[in-house]
Amino acid sequence: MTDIELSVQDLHVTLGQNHILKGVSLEVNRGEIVALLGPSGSGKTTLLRAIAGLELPTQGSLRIGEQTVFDSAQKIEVSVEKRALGFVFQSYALWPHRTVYQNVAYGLKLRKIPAAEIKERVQTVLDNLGLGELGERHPHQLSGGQQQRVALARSLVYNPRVILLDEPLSNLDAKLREEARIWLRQLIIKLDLSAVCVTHDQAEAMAMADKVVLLKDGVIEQAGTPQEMYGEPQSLFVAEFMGANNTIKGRIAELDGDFARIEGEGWALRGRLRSSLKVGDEATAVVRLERIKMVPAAKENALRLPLTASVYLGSSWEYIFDLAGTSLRGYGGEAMPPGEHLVEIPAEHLWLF
Amino acid sequence: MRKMSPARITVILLTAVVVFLPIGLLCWQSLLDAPFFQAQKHLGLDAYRFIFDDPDFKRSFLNSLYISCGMGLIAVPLGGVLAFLMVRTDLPGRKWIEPLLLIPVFVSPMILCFGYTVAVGPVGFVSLWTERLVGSVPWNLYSMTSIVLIAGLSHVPHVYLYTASALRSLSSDVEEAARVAGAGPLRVAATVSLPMVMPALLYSGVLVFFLGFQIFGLALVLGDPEGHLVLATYLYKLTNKLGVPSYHLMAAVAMCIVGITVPMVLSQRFLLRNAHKYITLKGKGARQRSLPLGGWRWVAITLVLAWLVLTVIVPVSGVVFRAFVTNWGEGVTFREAFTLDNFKAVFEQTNLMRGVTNTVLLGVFGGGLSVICFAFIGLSAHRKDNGWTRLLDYTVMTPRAIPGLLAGLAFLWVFLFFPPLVPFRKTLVSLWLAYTVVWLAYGMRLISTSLLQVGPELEESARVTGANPGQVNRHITLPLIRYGLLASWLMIFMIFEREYSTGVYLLGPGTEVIGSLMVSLWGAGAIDIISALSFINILLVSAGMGIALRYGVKLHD
Ligand SMILES: Nc1ncnc2c1ncn2[C@@H]1O[C@H](COP(=O)(O)OP(=O)(O)OP(=O)(O)O)[C@@H](O)[C@H]1O
Ligand SMILES: [Mg+2]
Repeated sequence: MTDIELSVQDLHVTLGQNHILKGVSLEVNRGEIVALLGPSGSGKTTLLRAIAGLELPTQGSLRIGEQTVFDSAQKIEVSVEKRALGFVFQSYALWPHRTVYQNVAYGLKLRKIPAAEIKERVQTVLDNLGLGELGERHPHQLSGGQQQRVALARSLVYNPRVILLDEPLSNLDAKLREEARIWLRQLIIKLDLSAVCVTHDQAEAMAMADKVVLLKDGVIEQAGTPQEMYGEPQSLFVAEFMGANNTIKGRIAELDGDFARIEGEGWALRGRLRSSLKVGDEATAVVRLERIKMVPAAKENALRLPLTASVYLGSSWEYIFDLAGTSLRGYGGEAMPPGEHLVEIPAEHLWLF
Repeated sequence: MRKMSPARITVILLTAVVVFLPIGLLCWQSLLDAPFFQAQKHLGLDAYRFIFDDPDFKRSFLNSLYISCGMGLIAVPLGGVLAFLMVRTDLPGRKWIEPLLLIPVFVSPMILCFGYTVAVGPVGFVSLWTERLVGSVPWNLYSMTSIVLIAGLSHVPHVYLYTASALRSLSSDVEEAARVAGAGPLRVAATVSLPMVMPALLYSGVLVFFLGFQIFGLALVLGDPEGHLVLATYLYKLTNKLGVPSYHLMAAVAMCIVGITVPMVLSQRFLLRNAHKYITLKGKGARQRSLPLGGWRWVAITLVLAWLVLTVIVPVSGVVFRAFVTNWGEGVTFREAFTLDNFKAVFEQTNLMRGVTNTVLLGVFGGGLSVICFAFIGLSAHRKDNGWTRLLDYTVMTPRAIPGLLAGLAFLWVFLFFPPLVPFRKTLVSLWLAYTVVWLAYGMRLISTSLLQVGPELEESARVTGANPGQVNRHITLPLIRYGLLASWLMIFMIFEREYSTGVYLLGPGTEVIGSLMVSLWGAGAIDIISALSFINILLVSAGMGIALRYGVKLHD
């Protein structure tokens, strides 16, 4: 017995003339929710479709549970319908000529389940997802949120062990989305499923997933827990993708173990080295917005900067300072008068790439 | 997903055999010096030598060329202007003009030309009125000029259909921009709209040109009195001319026609591929606004009405009129001549009555069966792109290059000498198969338009849910296109009602249809009966159009 429900090894996919996935490896444990994150065109949908069997990889292997469903070396290819996965399409792809009930029941009918049992199981899953009353409606008579839940019900009803979701929340409005991601996570945990969920919203990925996989141009840039991805990015790309940042360009002036000094026009800061840099290299310093602090007295890594604007956000204020021509943003609790202020950028949280 | 299942391959291969076998037979026959079923025969080019030496063949070829060029010159500009007026301007009465425009597409040219002879022929009623008014008839219906003119005018709808659909897919803001910049409607049409639909015009120009080489009924009716032959009528008259059926000569003429049309059909494919480059699909925000014609609207409506009168109203009223009179000539009034005897004659002759029932049967049931076949063929290539589907592409477009007359001839031979099929020779099966192949390209266009509207994810989600490809077809794809299939059935019904040339060589006891009966009766000069049959045929087609209009079936894309 292994705990790995889904294993992807060195997967390559070519669509038309384009090499889209260039060797992706990924493992999903039982009960784990993995978020696939990446900019548009990075190959997230392609990866999901290749796992489902909707695209034919040119190389690599795929295992679901104990079964190898694709292996280019052994020439194994299990057809889509025999992979027994759940798949929720971004557009939901509900069949317009079937009622909600018929949409959901279809997977069970195909599995030759007795009619009475179908009825019971469909009703249970519809009730679970708050759709109990809507069985007789057609998809076009449903709201976006209801359609999304029907799509989910349809792919859950036959108890797949792995469910694949392609931007399941992207058609919902912002408020509904924040509720739905919590709800979806709890549902997946309750049903003890493994899930791969595509999203291009990093906040959504971190809220929903146990593991985040960041794709860039068809390769995995970094994978890890949300805390690792946010707190320990291994490249500038990951750092910039995972949060709201200030980035400052400068030159490395001095190395000091794990730390280094970076200098620019009229400023110098200490930061933590996150890639191999030498003295004299051009470097980029990155710091999360929420790490910027106002301090009353001068200390290490505190700069006196002019405040160019402050913006009221409701729960907090956002300040914008000017640092040698680039803007430096930070949050604070109250309005600040215009003029110069002392701003601390903790060396621990200033990453140098 | 990627591999082709044996079922799909079988459908594709079967289609290819049904299309290419008869054509192959024609081709082989043309290279023999005797009928292919005789023991004594030799390969050679004798047949071609004979027809190339025949001055009649040369004249027919030149006439065909003349007609094709003339048709192109008349139909393309008029069709383009008509499309612009109908799609882009506030031309009054667009709604009721639209279905009338399609009449020449759905009424057979045999009938239209027959109508012309009744209305504007030497003793036609319009001619007689004109004679009374001005003293003489200032036109000659049977001259080459008239033939070209009528061929051109009756093919305007073909150009119109392609151009209009291209115009509909173009956003109108480019035209509005030209209006704002100070251009009048005519200038907008000439400098902005038409260049944008150039690919569509070019495409339909090629279409009209090769349809010109396929013309049969029109030349048969209008060319006969003064002996103007075209390629298809030359072929048809070869038997009379030589006194014996000379299969190899007919096949050689057939191959000459095919040799001209096939390259054009291929070039259309090339044009279509390039056409996509120019089409600027309208975005979400773009709307279609009609261009106010202002004072030009009266010029425009006069032009459209003149075309309608000349191309639709004159011939159709001629047919309808002739169907209800005994005879017609100088000094006869409608009241004295009115009769229903023409129809009585049709109902009394069993072969004519059978022709009428066969036409209906072939349209309704045969049409339905054809749509089922087309659907199978369509599904066999659905969402695939490989060698097999390319083979199917070429198979499907090949029949466009084969005039119905030739296809009927080829199928006659297949049904005469291919043993398993011999028993079906005298049944509607032979006609149905020939009709289905002749209209394969048209039918597949209808089906693939429906299939293209099914979102791929609807099918993919069924696959993921556990359905195999066959179940996806049965449970998802076919139910989703069911209205498209019904509409296609209606269109195929109308086309099968109209068809006349395919049945000509297959005509025999049991396989009579209105169209081929008219061709054979025309030879015998049975005008009364032809007019009654024509009227019945027009009624059948109108029934189809009526249903289409009632249920909002689009008569074109
Ligand atoms: N059928 C196809 N043929 C060729 N290239 C394709 C095809 N489908 C997608 N691509 C290309 O593959 C790349 C990856 O596409 P994919 O849909 O996987 O991106 P994605 O990460 O899901 O993006 P998004 O966030 O926009 O959904 C894109 O550059 C796209 O243009
Ligand atoms: Mg995507």
